[in-house]
Amino acid sequence: MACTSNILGQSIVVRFQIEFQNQALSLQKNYVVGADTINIEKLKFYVSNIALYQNDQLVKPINKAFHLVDLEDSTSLGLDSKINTGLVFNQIKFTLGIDSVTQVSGALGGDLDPTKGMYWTWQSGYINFKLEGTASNCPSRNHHFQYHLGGYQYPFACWQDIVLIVPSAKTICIKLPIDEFLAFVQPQKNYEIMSPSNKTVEYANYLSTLFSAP
Amino acid sequence: MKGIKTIIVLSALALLAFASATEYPISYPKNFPAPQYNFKNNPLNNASITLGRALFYDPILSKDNSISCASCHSPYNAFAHTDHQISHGINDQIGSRNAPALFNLAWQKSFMWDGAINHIEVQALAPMSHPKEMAETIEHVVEKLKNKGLYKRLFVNAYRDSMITGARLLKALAQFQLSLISGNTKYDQVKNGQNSFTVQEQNGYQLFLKNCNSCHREPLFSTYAFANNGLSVDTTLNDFGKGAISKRSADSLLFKIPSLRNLNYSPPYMHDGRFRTLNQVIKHYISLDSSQVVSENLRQKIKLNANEQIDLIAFLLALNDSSFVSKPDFSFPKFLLPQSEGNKK
Ligand code: HEC
Ligand code: HEC
Repeated sequence: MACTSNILGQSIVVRFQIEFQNQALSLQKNYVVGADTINIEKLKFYVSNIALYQNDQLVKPINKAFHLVDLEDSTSLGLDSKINTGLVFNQIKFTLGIDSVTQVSGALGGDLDPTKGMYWTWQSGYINFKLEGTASNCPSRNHHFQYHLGGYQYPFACWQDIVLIVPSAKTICIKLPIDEFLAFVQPQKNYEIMSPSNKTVEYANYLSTLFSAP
Repeated sequence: MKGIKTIIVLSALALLAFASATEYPISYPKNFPAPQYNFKNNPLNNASITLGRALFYDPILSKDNSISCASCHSPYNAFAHTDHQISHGINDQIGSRNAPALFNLAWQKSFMWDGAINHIEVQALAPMSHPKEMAETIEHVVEKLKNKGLYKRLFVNAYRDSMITGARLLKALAQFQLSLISGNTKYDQVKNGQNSFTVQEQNGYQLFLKNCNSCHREPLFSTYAFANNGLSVDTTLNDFGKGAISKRSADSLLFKIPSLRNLNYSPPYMHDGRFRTLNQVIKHYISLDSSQVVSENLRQKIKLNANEQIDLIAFLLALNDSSFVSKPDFSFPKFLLPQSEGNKK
């Protein structure tokens, strides 16, 4: 499904389009990838500080607060900026994950509430990006994979500032191909990331390159 | 009849509590440094502390409603746990560390023996979700609390509306724990001129300043930094402390320096509870030699003769705060919760 524009409203909308094999990703659906069958059960990540820029000059901030994109909740995929169209911009910038100042600020509410399942418990810190599912070739128990990417302390800090070139359109579509992420991490070999580490940083760096605005 | 009476008493209390949703004045000795916790942005208030106190003593925070925070952190033990070296949780499963005493938490930068927790407000997530401690999830606890009239009332009192969220629950638990201030030991009384040391205690104080104060710094009796005090690794536990969290070899075998207040109430000692008496602790420190890997402040041999050991212990006993362990405001809130098995544990 293409990234549809918000027909009713007059404001600029940012939409996250999560894809698998060039189609909108569905949870609990079997995807055949070579000899592997992949099923995604959970996908959630934090974005914040979304703002529009023109040649690196700030045009308009859209959303400063932390927003949890959760594939299970389709309304979370879109962000209505409440800003009227007609602005001239050619870039969108946002932060993927939670910065170190927020990470040490205690118990926070809203999308950051620890009931959202994005907080590590035995060691403090938010999970920036969570992907869980099964892959038939994954040697773990029940073929399950879990990638919980997060970490804010040197050398495992892994929140990312992302800049994308976009047209000055009413709907800003941001694509994230999950099949490409899995092709990189290889669930048949690496199926569990549950704490900050070198691998976590490597995966998060790669993940940040996968966002694009077509 | 009895039921009606309770309802009247409870609603009267709720009104009282509402009336007292006022700022709670924290007080501590003048010679304490500034707290780490930002009280300016998060002032303590009576209603939140009452809510936090109910949560702290309520086994509803565990999966089978059998274990409360107080099961492992008893007020009589300065909020430590003394029966076992290593604390017991749900189904009597054994964890891997000794439950520390809880007081003066507002002065700590990080929590747990290895510093894994970076803020008091998020600490409770660890025991709540630990499979061997309370085996719950905060999502489920929030659901359980929403079904309890008591908590609807207490949340309204604390937050002006009955919305129960994870953040609110955690902040209230933190508020109660931040109110646990121990600053009325004989040492504190001597410092503010209300009491005086015996000759033995005074001598012990000098020995303490010479040998222990660099890590267990007065007046909190800890710098709350991390150090290696030369304990050999227990190979049944293989606990490497901070190193396992930071994944830095320099942090291997570093543990948080505990305060030496209230030791009388909180044996056994050390992260794995290996020592039952202060005598054993002192023997450990004087037996350290150059073959042991220790932090810098312990590299010089500690020499204490038999009398000096007794004097040092006499000083350590002047760090017990009996008013802290018997303070009614900190105890089980009988006016809110029924006495149940979990609470008595
Ligand atoms: C099963 C026993 C058990 C239960 C139940 C338990 N704790 Fe603990 N607590 C411990 C142990 C053991 C530690 C040390 C853990 C470590 O260092 O990894 C600890 C550490 C702490 C600390 C850190 C203290 C410091 O000086 O760093 C705080 C605060 C604390 N607990 C509060 C709570 C609260 C609040 C609850 C209830 C939500 C609770 N505990 C429930 C055993 C328990
Ligand atoms: C290099 C810093 C350092 C010095 C100096 C030091 N300690 Fe410690 N102490 C520690 C650390 C770290 C621990 C916790 C160790 C653990 O459990 O792994 C500790 C634990 C203790 C405990 C156990 C407290 C509890 O609640 O479990 C006592 C008692 C104690 N020390 C007394 C002393 C005395 C007395 C001296 C001086 C003779 C002294 N320490 C000197 C670092 C130090």
